[in-house]
Amino acid sequence: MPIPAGASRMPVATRVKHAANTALWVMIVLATVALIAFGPRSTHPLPKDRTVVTYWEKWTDFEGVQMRDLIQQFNQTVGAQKGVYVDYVVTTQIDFKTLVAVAGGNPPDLVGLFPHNVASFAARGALEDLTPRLDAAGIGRDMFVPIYQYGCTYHDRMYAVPLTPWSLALYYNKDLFEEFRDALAAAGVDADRAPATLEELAVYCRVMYREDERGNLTMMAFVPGLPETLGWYWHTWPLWYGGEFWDEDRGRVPISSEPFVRGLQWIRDLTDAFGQNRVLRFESGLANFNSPDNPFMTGTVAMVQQGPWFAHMIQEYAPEINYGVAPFPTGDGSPISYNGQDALAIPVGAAHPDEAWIFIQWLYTAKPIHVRSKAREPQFGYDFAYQNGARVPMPALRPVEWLCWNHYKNSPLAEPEPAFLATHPNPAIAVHERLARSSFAKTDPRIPDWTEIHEEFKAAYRDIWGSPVPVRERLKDCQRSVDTLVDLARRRQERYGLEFP
Amino acid sequence: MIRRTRHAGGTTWTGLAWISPWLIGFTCFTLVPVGLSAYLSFCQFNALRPPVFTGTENLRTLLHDPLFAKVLWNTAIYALVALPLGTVLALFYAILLNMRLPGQVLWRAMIFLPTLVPLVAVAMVWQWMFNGRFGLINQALAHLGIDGPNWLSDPNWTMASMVVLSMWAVGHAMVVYLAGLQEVPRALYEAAELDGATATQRLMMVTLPMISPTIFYNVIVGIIVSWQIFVVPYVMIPGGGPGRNAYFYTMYLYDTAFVNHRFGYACLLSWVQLVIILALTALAARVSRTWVHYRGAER
Repeated sequence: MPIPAGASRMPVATRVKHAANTALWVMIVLATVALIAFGPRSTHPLPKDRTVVTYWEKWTDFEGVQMRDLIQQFNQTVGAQKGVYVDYVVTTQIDFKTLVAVAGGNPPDLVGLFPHNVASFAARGALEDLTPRLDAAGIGRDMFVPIYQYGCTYHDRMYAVPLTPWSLALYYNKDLFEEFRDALAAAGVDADRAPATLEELAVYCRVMYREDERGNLTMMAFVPGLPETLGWYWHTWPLWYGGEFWDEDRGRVPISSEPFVRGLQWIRDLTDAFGQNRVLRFESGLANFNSPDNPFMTGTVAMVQQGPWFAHMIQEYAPEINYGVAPFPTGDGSPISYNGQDALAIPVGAAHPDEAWIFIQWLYTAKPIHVRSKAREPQFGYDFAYQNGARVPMPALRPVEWLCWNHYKNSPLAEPEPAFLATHPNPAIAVHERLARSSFAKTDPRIPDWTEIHEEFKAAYRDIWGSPVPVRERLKDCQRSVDTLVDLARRRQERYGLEFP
Repeated sequence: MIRRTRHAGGTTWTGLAWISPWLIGFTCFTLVPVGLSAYLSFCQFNALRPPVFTGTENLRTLLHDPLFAKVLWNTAIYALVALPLGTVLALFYAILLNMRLPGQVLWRAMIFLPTLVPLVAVAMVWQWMFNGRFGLINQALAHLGIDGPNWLSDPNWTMASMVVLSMWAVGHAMVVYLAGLQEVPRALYEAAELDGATATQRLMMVTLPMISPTIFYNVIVGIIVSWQIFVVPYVMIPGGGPGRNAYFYTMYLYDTAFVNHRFGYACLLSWVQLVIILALTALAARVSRTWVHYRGAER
């Protein structure tokens, strides 16, 4: 059959195949163009005429808003003059992501780390040594409160600066103390003050509790692990008996030493007094920390070990609570405290370390300034505070102190502005300040692999809290595991020609 | 001839070009990392400093690592209990739902639905189900006069709670069994009935042998899944609870790599896990010769 003029000689199947191929290519090109034209965009435009400093930080909520307010102040003033723009990026799992970013060669320019990260990251070579920059800027180490400076130092070099610091104290519900006044007096303790020793705390615990008709505990004086079962500060117990996390002479974490045994025995005694199952059941029913149902806010727990931010939470969730704050009870009543700080660091490999430093330097050395913040509670307004109950204009503060003031935290500076303390919104700030500046102030050890050792200790704590295992034997067992981990960590450091710890 | 070869060569290149995204992805994200992890198993590596070859040190550490022994034991116990229980339960559901029941489709959907829920959500919900004070399970037990345990904080019950939870997600296996059951020829049941076989005999002599390849498939998948249990216990019982009784192999592997940054040791752990799963799969395949019947296979 002759082929009609103008018709293709190609078979139909081939023509279909070609058409399909062409259609596929067209679709790919269209999809690419569409992605470029309408794809994801930054939610906030970054200035093209400035160096953008990417700042990863963990804060959300009011803390994040206030940091943004402070950064905005910088960007509009010194940043504008020097051509620097700080871009605040909220980052979850910030420690892990920072390590990955450093390993990948694309870290942020600034990062806000947890207290225990500094030594560990510095040992791995993930943080820039800030010592030369601090020296050149005339920021001496004596500018910082010693315990916070210690927490940012590794091998005598500063790898971070303390941004917003804290010390732990005992927050107690005065109304509950009042309710149990007679029972407390009968037990020989005073309802008008917080317990000063752990022995006293045990008495308060034995007296202040409620149970329902089935014998379930419905209120307790104190639960050691709170805010969560193994939430934040369970590991502080050896400190209250004068213990240290690191034995410099033996090069060991002395987990089976007497202060550790006594601290954890105190915890076991508490569960034994009520029955382990009853305490565990009570604990399992406690609500989330950051919520109005927080057991302290609901009067389910009379005392908690918390940092200065807790005053802000009370203000927000249960302002009617009549509470007091005191140093946490210790073995002999000495004002031992556990401290830490959010630390600001420049990761190794950051694209703009000099510009990042300009921001850090501004935080600590700028003259006191006024910053407007929409995140402050209504009772503090945008630009006023309270002093001795009277309304006063919001004082001018150095940027870092402005941030701490708004976060309800104490100052990282050895010499805080007088107005910082005089107008501070946290009614317990004097207690937190005193504890942090005391010679009894403690913090985490500066050991490269502290996280792993800490996990091993946590397992021992968990066993002692939740099972009938004997305390001393469990800690001896833990000591063996921890010694192995320390030896491995030491060997790892030595392989890189580095000193341990 | 030459033209045809050229054409064939061109077709090959065109084919390779079209699958190149997969090839590149497979090479970059599977082949190379697998090779690297084999090398890193013999190294000290924290991702920030270059790896240092340490020979068999990681292996020697592994052999003396009490935590490795603990997670191995926990995972084996979990697999040994959860896998047979899950298999029996899924099979039971499938047989039940293969019958003509009112609301059959609804029942099937209800049993399958939990497998579609994201694991983290499952963990969060079950955390409250198992709550010692307010949990629904203990509330239900209280109505029966039983004082329920602290499921997630009592060392005697953490493993049991994980096994119980695993029963909740048998929907996937159930669907596979259901498909297998529907392939069993009706004629075999009719023949069995004519021979006077009871329901139990029909189940044992007809149903189970006929769906044995399906059971085998589900057992293999079950071995792999149970040896890789991770998300739910990691969210519900961080660290495995008291006594670390619910601390499983993959949790330890993850913590070693991404919390403690001992990537070399973690690579070795992952290879050991692969070897264990391969060995168990091979063992199951070997044993299957005695009980799996393929239609059309020569005996």
